[in-house]
Amino acid sequence: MPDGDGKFRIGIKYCGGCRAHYERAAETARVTEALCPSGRYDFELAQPGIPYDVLLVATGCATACPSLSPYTYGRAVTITAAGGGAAAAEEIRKIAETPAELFG
Amino acid sequence: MPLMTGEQYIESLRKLDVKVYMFGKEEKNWIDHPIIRPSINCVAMTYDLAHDPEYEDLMTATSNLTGHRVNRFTHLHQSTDDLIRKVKMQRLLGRKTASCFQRCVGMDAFNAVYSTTYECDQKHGTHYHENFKNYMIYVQDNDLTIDGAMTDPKGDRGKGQGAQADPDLFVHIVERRPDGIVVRGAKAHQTGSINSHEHLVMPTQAVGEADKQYAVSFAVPSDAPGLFMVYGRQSCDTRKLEPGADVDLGNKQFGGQEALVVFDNVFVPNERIFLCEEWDFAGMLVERFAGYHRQSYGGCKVGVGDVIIGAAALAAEYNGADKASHIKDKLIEMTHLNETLFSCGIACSCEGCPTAAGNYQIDLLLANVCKQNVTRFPYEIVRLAEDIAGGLMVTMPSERDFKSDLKVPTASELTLGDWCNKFFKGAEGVTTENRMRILRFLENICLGTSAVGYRTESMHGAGSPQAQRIMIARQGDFETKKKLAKTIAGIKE
Repeated sequence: MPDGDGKFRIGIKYCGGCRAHYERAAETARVTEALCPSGRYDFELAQPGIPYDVLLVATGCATACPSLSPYTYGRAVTITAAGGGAAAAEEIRKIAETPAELFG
Repeated sequence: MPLMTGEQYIESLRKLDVKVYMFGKEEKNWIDHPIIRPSINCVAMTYDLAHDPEYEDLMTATSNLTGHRVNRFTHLHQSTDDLIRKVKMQRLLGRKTASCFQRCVGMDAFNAVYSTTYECDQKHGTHYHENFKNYMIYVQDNDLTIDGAMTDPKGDRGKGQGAQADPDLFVHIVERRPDGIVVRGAKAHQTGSINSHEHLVMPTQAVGEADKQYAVSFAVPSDAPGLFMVYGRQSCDTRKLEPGADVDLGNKQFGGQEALVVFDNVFVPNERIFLCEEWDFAGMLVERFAGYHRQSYGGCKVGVGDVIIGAAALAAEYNGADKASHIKDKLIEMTHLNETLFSCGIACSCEGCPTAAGNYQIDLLLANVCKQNVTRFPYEIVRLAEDIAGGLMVTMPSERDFKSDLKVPTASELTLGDWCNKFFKGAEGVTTENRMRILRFLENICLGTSAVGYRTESMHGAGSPQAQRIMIARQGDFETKKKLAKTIAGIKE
């Protein structure tokens, strides 16, 4: 369900990192590296009030405590552990390839 | 400027005309002094992380007063979630600095004064809460660091405020004027006081009616006329003055700070007065500040503990002892102790409740249990760290010896550095310098400058152990527990 410009918009949101068990930024970088070459995806740090197709949430532990309520998004994809970036990229790719009408 | 950067914070300190004394003389350029600067770097970290997307979720909050995004260190807690996030933020900063980052005392004072002034106004018809709300907006909008100043020198502990031979041993009002009050006295052990833009003063203990001039709370800038500070020296502090010192410092970048803050007839304008002889609210203010601050230790010390556990694990690796089962067990024990402290900090936050003013306070019993554990567990954690590190932590030569090119006149014709590196080599693949670095880090935290923050501050900061035991006795609800026992045991009286 891309925007009018055809780009699939992804907002990146980090938890506060009080006891992060892995490098969250390294995992989100894996996602951008996997998806950016296609030219289909736009990534930015998530800001309240801006609509995103996917909110990519990188949390330092499974508690995943950040509140997502200030954000506007279609689906949230969460990374909670090291190595989660690859699976997150695949999940986003699937979401992007799913026809918009399948979303409620 | 709702959120300053670390650099902006440091520059803002330069604009103040703060009077700092150290080693018997006034230190004009205290901001760049090698002994003081690491403590300033710590506070700067509280500013920088608020701008970092990876940490802003904890480091910032939305002000209930203005709706602006503010640094959480200036926030009035609006929910139990805010209380939890406060503890998590403190753990984060402990992990980033391995030091006391000093800004918690202000945050804890804000929340205590906010609710106490509200209740004081309700009873006495005073206007302190409005004064304080205006002050908080000023603090939040300018992203200030504030010294929450509670501890008076106290003189003879067997006597109260008014019975001291020297009345100045507790901060008190010496003159009331139409435009404000004049105060006199001192606050001791003031964490981060020199690095603070202002001081928010509170009474140090409950006050009786006869001593009501000691029931005073107010705020003044750090460069108010009549205010000066004397830097508190720390174990091994002059190592920071050694030319090129690096490895031997253990933690070159960060550190804590305490000072004596003297008020020699300092004027306080009416709009900055938050308690003025309403003696029946002094105890409430003390109890609430202490409660918040005892919660704080369940975050900050845990973050520092994380770094100590990591350092101990590295020391074991560098010594080639990391596979030994007793080493693994000691690391597990350190983790158990550290996470127990975190559990207490989180628990007293989860069980928090709203005050009449609307901000949230912690569960007092659980916060005091938290701090009581903090008076003990960090000592065991550093004991285990010393055990794992080995005696070399305190016996190895200086970094200048390790780096020395001086030829030692023996048959081998090696340099002093060669000899030191040869005999202090540890596990294969580990440089001697890295081994030195981790051992010096542990030395610093166990018995150097950082031991001030991790050990003795854990014992006495936010109140000595007996202060918590008094609160635990008050909050322990023994009567209810006796009834429970009677019911189960079938006792009918």
